[in-house]
Amino acid sequence: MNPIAVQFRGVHKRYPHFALDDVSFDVPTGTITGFIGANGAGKSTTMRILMGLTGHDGGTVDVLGHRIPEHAIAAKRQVGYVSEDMRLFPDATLDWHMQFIAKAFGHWDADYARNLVRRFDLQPEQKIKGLSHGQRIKASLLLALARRPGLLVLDEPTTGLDPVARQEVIGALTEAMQDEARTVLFSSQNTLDVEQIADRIIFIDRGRIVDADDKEAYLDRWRRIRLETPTEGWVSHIDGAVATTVSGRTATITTDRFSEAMLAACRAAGATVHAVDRLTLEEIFVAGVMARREEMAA
Amino acid sequence: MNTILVRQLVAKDLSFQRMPVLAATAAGLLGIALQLSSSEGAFYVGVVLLITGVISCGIYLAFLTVVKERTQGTLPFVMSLPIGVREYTAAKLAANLILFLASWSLLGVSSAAVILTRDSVPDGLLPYAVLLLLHMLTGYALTLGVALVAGTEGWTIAAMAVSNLSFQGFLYWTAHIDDIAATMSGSVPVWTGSVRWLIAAELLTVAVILTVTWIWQSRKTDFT
Repeated sequence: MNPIAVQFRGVHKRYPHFALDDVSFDVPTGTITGFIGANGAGKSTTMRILMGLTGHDGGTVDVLGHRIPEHAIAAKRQVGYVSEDMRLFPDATLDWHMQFIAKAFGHWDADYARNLVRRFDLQPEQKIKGLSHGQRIKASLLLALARRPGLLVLDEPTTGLDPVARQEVIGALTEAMQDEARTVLFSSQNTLDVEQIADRIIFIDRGRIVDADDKEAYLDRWRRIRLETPTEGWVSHIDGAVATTVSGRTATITTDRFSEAMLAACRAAGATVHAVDRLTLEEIFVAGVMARREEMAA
Repeated sequence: MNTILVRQLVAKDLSFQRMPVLAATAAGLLGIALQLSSSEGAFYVGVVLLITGVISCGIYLAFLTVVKERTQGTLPFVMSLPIGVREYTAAKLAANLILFLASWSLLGVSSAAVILTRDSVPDGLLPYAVLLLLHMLTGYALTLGVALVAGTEGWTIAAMAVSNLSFQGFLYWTAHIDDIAATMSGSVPVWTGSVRWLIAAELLTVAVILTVTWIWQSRKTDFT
């Protein structure tokens, strides 16, 4: 089995008002990787390139060992794709879609499909146009999952879902991952979803990969440190500060390179550390994006 | 090429679009029924209804099978299947041509039967009718080709407008070509040099449009 399910290397794609720039990342086999970025960051473009739906101008993309776009058809046989803007045929029933997919791919787990129909509270004989947005997403997810693909690519699968539907979708994804050979790459603006189920994280902003790491390691190296400084302006000497707010001699430093040695250095320089807090993924996401944008504007 | 999936996509379009095609064909058949009436007014209404049936069948098909698939967001679903743009284009062309040609042939043969059997309609009109039917096929091929290549409502409507306007011009122009005008009201169909040349040109145009569409589509890298 290939240890890397998805590999992007130096991928470029240029549009008149947007560009993916030197995008490189790996998605290891058997992981759930959350792909996080703001609106327009390049998540969907990256996903479409991965699926061979959009051509890239440079770089290489390999999916399950198949070079994209040359061998996209072979890759797509093993990939389940669900996108927030993807629609099923409105005048056909869910049952029609299940038969269509079963025939198109040649492999279909009917028992699992029935189980998902019950779990998602769907009616196979109901036409797609009669379904709510949440039901449509669940129907699309069912069609992707019941094929038991090696790779699931989900572009904003939880966007627009109510909390119950979101939990159902996340539960199904978690269950799908019980098969360790399966890999999931899912994009979201909702960091809570990513924090809940992903074990790896990739951040993208304005067409560039900002960071990619194991989730726990990632969360572990971000901290917010509140301290009292020996003199005003002292914080500018601290290495690894992503964001800093200062009020007199009280400073709050957000860092993405936290270590005990950092605290020891602060104390040795005469600062008094009042608190060291972990950050949520959302706080990290906002801090990271803001810092990068300030850096680019400077 | 994944021919099984192409067949499946063709079957899908045949199943989804049969009702609009049947409705347009029924309108055309109603037009032919009116042409059998002894009333001259009913005959002309029938001719208009027949032309409307053929043209609207083509418009429905290009919009429902290609443009609507983009606007309603089902294209990403189709393209997530293990197919490439060649399979997609082959399926669209095949489904469209099967549906359109079925309706067009039925209405064409019925029109020929009316011309050849109804005493008050000169048999010499048959070559002219064939030219008009082939022009409608050409217009449909253009609309379908533009719909596939551009994939937008705007361009498809523009192609449709060009097709329909050119039909009006073609109707007038061919009726005034000397050898066609001279034989049109005769008691036997005469396949004059102009008629044969125009038939060949129309068939060639259809073939060129479909070939260009295929080549253009095959070079596409973005499908959503």
